[in-house]
Amino acid sequence: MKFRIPKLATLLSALAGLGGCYQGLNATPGGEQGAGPADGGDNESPDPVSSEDEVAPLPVRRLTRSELLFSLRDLLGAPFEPEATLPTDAQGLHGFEEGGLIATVDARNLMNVAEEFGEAVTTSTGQLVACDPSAAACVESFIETFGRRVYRRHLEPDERAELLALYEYTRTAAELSPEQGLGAIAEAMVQSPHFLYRRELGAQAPQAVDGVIVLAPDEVASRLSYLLWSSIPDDELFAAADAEQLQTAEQLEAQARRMLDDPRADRVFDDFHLQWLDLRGTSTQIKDTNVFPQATPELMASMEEETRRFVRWVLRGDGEGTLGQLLTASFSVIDDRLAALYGVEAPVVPFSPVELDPSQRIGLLTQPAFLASHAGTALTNPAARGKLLSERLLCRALPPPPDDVPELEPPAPGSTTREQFEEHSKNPACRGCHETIDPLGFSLEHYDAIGGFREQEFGEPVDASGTLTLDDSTLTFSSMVELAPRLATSPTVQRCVATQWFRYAIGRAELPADEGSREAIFAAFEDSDFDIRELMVAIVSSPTFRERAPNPGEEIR
Amino acid sequence: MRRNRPSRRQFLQGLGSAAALVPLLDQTEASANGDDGYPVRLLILLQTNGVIRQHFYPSGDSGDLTQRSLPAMTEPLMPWRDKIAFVGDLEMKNFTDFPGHGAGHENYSCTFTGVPGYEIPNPEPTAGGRFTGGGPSVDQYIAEQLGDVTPIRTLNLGVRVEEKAWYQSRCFYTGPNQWVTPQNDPRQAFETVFAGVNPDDVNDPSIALRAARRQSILDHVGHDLEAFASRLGRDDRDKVLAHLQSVQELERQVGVDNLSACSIPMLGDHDIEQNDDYPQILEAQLDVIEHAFKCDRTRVATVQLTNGNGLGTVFSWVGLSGPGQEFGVRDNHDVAHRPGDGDQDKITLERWYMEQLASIIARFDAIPEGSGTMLDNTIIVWANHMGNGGAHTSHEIPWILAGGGGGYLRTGQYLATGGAPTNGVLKALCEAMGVDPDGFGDPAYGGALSGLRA
Repeated sequence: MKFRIPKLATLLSALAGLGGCYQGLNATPGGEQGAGPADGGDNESPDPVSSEDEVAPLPVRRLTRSELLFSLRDLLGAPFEPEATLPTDAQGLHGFEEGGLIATVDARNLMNVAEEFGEAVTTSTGQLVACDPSAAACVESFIETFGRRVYRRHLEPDERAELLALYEYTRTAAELSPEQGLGAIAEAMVQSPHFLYRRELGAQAPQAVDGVIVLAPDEVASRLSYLLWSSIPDDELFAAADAEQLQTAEQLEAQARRMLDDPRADRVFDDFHLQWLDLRGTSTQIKDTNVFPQATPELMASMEEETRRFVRWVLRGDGEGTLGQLLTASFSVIDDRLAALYGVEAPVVPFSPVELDPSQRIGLLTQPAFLASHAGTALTNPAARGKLLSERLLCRALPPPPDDVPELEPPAPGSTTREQFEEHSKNPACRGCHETIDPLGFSLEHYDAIGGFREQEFGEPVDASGTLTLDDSTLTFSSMVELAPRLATSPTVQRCVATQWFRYAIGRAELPADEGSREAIFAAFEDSDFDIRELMVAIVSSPTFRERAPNPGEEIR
Repeated sequence: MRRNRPSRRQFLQGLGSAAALVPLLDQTEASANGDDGYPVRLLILLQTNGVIRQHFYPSGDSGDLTQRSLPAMTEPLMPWRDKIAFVGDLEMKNFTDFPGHGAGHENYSCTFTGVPGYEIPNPEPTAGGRFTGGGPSVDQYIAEQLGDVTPIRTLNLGVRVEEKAWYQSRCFYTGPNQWVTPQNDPRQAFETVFAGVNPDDVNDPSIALRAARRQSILDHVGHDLEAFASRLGRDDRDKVLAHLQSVQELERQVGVDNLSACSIPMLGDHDIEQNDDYPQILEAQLDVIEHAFKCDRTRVATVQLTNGNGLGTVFSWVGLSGPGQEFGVRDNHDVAHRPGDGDQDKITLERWYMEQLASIIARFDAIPEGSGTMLDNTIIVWANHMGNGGAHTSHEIPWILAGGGGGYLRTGQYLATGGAPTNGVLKALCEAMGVDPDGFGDPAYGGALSGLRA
């Protein structure tokens, strides 16, 4: 076995994505012709070095806001809605949220959340310990059992002693009751890096054999639980870790299947899809109510809920579980507000599946959440829709706009949105990118800024037709209704979706050393007719999920 | 076994609360003395989307300002001409010298760092632009150099700053790509500065008990972070050490030792989610800063006025509203691109901001310090990260400096710099605050702008 720590330049170019789509700006820092992301959609660029027996480093991840909240709730086993703000997330270089840097404000927010959590522990001491919290043995047993779940590993003796000392000190110095003392312990634990960061190691540094670190059982348990539930492991998973039953691909696969059947998996289905298509702001979007009087906060909230419910229905309910169904379903899962927007009859039970007009609607991309999120307040924004699809569905990255974008002339009165946006393609500085993003964006011009279907705009017939180069062939289509089935069966799109899930699951952009794992994952995805759950199981079963290389400068045995 | 030690607390307790009335507790650290030994403070405010030259700049060349009239946007500053230095035609060279730098919004993160942006190696441009801050911003640099002379190193506030951290929403950094999250909520700023003190009962004993609990827990967490960081790889370790630094700073902030000497601001009614409450939110934030400066809880404060695009903030309180003329709504950004007939809408917007600046100047000038006022011992920087609003330029940038800076700043003047790097002003701020400017920014852009020195 061998491994190599990628040189910084290689890393940067791997992360930098693909060549610019307009001339004059080299999108790759330093002009380095490094290996791009190994699939990269159309821009396949195989790693020149054989990577079968390589493993890549794995950065430590801090819990995101939603992971933090779900973990705190699962720790309490009770509802927990902190009033305090949660610490900020950052957009990771891999395109998904990650726990951001803890600035002082974030540390303060975290302290406030921890105080509320401590109070919740104090008031539910009866449920959490079956002994008298003024007895030292009781406090010790709380530290041990609760700590095992908070740190997701067994505590070391000196860690237990320090927490006990903290209990004793705060009881005196801050005049706390025994129950409040337990709360103070919980308050400290959930502000500890051992809770907030994902590297579940005890006293011993990890051991590297031939440059490969096999993750400790507790680390594997947490990787499973955070990927599949956005939270801490459950007792069964902790028990499997203690019994060292998380070592083989088969053991991981069995756990993954069990966990995917659990309702907690919905958290991840929601989170991935809302992040992937950048839909998280949908419910708080403000539309111009002069143009769309129906665009109430309730309708916007329903839009976001529709997409959640639809995804869950396809992936965990009665659906086929496939990428194909996500992108081409002729139904959606809606309430009465959305029924009015769609022009169909409202379901008897809110958020039930309803057949839609197949000449108007097809899958996720024609749902109002997507259409409204990537539009203006009154008008559509084909460039925003197209850019998102280019990046997230085709994995075609775009460089930023040129240095000095000339001001566009105000549109001629009565010209359609498409006509206005076509101005971009006339400017040579802008053309390169817009030639890719415009056809994708224009294909959705039948949907206004809140996702309502339209045949006309400003009295002119809508033109949603276009041509797009995909998988080395040229597609001609009249609208998204024709384009979506082509996207759903395009190898570029299928690979891109697998890439997006891989990035989400591993928490970083793919590296050349991941290629072996990624090929195996894609093969399993393909074999399952592009079933998303099978894709997740394949990721969990891959070597990348349970092995890593040491990070530069890391303490290794 | 670890000690739960409140070392700084004991030190301050030994001084007694009356000591807090004397602002200068410790002059062993680098810092500047203003008139009569009062400390020099720095307040930076950052507006977005540029200005329109003929409505903002004084006419003519460099020289005395006190006898010149100011045009429509800056007219509210007329009574304070002797207290300001108007710095014209700055260029954000640390941004524009970088190939492929992009347009005005992209420069936001580089406004106060004086170094080229940290280039994001980024497969997904939806994740942000090309740069974030490439090094510590001037406020953080100064605070670092000053050390722990005050309980709060810097107070970084905002009004309606986007929560998402990206290059158009963060302009203050502790290091490359390590942004400072602004506090948008005056109540939280109040909590930071005054540690939750009840204005009606500054000596409420439960406050001290809470501070004791918080400090013990944060001390424990700090030790955990230190131990955890030491075992990680370099990149991870840097992140955890930054976290540690924040926790240590917080541990200082939650102390209440010399608070009884502070006067406590009253926060007005406002909802930080409400666009229309913008003036009240800004007022409350400035109120917190004023009181924090007054009793020396911090010497460096910043306010981000929205973010690097001003999207979604509609100046309804001065009559701007409705659909946008180029973009969705008639917000700060839309007004910059389509300033209205005779530029009237843009004038209205900037003029309102200048009224706010005049009001801060007046408030600071009303606080006596020794033989002068707090204004004499403060520099207020009114910055914009763009020059021309409509074209979003990174040159032709006007910054207004107000206050005496403890005798450092030559006020009453218009300084037409003819394209000087913004670094020159940032380094002057270092000098005014009594810290060595040489460690700040890219040395390629020279030293402090000499015309600013009195």
